[in-house]
Amino acid sequence: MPINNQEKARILGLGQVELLQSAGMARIEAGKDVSDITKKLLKLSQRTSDRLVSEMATLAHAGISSAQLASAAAALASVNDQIATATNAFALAARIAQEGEKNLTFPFVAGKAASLLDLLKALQKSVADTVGRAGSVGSVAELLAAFDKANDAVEALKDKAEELAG
Amino acid sequence: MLQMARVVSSLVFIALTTIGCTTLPDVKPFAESTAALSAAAGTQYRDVSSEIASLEPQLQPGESESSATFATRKAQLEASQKAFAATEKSLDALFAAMTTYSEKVVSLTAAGKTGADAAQSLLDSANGFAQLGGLPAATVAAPITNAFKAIADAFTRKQAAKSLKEAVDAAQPGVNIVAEQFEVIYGNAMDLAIKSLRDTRSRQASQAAGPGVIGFNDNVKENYNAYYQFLNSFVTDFDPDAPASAWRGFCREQKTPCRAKEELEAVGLVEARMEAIRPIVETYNAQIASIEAKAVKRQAASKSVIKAVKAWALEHQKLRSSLEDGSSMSAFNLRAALMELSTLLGEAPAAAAPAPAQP
Repeated sequence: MPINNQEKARILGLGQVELLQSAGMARIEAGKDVSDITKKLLKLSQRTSDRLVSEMATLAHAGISSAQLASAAAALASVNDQIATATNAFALAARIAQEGEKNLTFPFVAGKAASLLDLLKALQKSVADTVGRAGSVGSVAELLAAFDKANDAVEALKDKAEELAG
Repeated sequence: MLQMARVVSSLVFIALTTIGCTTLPDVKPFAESTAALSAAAGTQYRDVSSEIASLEPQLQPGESESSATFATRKAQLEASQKAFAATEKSLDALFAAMTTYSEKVVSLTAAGKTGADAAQSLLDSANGFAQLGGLPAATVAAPITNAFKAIADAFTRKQAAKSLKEAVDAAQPGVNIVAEQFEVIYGNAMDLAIKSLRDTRSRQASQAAGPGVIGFNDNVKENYNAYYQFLNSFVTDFDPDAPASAWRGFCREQKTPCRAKEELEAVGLVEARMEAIRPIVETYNAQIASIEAKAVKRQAASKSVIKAVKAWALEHQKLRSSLEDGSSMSAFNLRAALMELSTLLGEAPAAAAPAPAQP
């Protein structure tokens, strides 16, 4: 029995829905864009005079949108561990910076005043050497004495810094 | 006295040379941009994520709650909503950590630039060299004090630079991850989500317009001219002085009874229906235009986030370099990218990211 025009339109319409749906799902799996397919399905659902074709096109459209969202969620799931690792890296870096800043609060003095003392001694020696090379320099004795006192002062500073640094 | 001052000055120079001079980079532009980037990227993500959270599983025509298709979509939606919410939480934590890191770096740099002040503060608390040494301030106390402060300053900068370098090195793997993974989040996942939302909203708008309404409108619009042309092809010998000739022409080739009247009545009915559905069609068209515009804007913003993140990662590299060679940082490209992003998000550029000046 020959089929009538309405049946023919339905068969063609459903075939078109099937093709578009398969193509859409395949493209999502391949990570490709499906915008043209969803637009075609929406138009088909709107323009067909066959209710079943319209419903099936709408259903296929909804299925593809849903699969797109699921694919987006899968992509996000793959990065969450990485994001956590990055967060930890920044937290560690912030802590290092904070510790560094703490060490500068009473700059280095508590821990490093001993180095300064050595430095002052080097300065003192340099003065003596400089004077030795330059010959008689006025008030050199006074300068050397000042460095002696400075040594004592730095010792005092060290004590003070340690006290301040707790 | 002058000679003594000269000797001390030269010794200060020697001492500074021994310690080594360190220039601390200006890291403020980087920190400000990090905060602005975090805020903008967070806004963009939440914009999409919150719309996904608001979606509800919807039955499609001809479907029931027990349909397998509905069950699949419902499960996919719920899983997606969970994934987007979880990532939002992760991103919030990441943005907070990125911002805290950059703030601490600024704070450390600022502390590293206060060596002389801190030394003075210590000297003040210890009553200074002059008193401790029992020397008249006008003689050697001031040069020694200045020497001590200069050494303290140089030493502090060096210590700060060391800590800065350690912190920046520790952050670098995080920066690399962000640069790579934001391509996945904002390039891949967001793109799919934006398109899915666009399609879902378009379908909802179509369904709200009513079955067949938009299709009828589109079909008529597409075929109207063709139909009139078809009709007019019969009216070839239309004579304006004899309007009845049009009818004759229209029916000229017809063997069967002239259907012109019925045809024109049908056209009238179509026009009446078109007029009746016009408000619905206009509402639908406005909704679709708005949905499409929103999707386009979101996609542009996502691309802009990726661009800004790449500029930010590059700026972090420059921060590392400037700690090595003391070069300055302008964050120009990063600021420009953030300006673009702020514009796309429809926000005034954050105070943290002022208009970039050409370097």
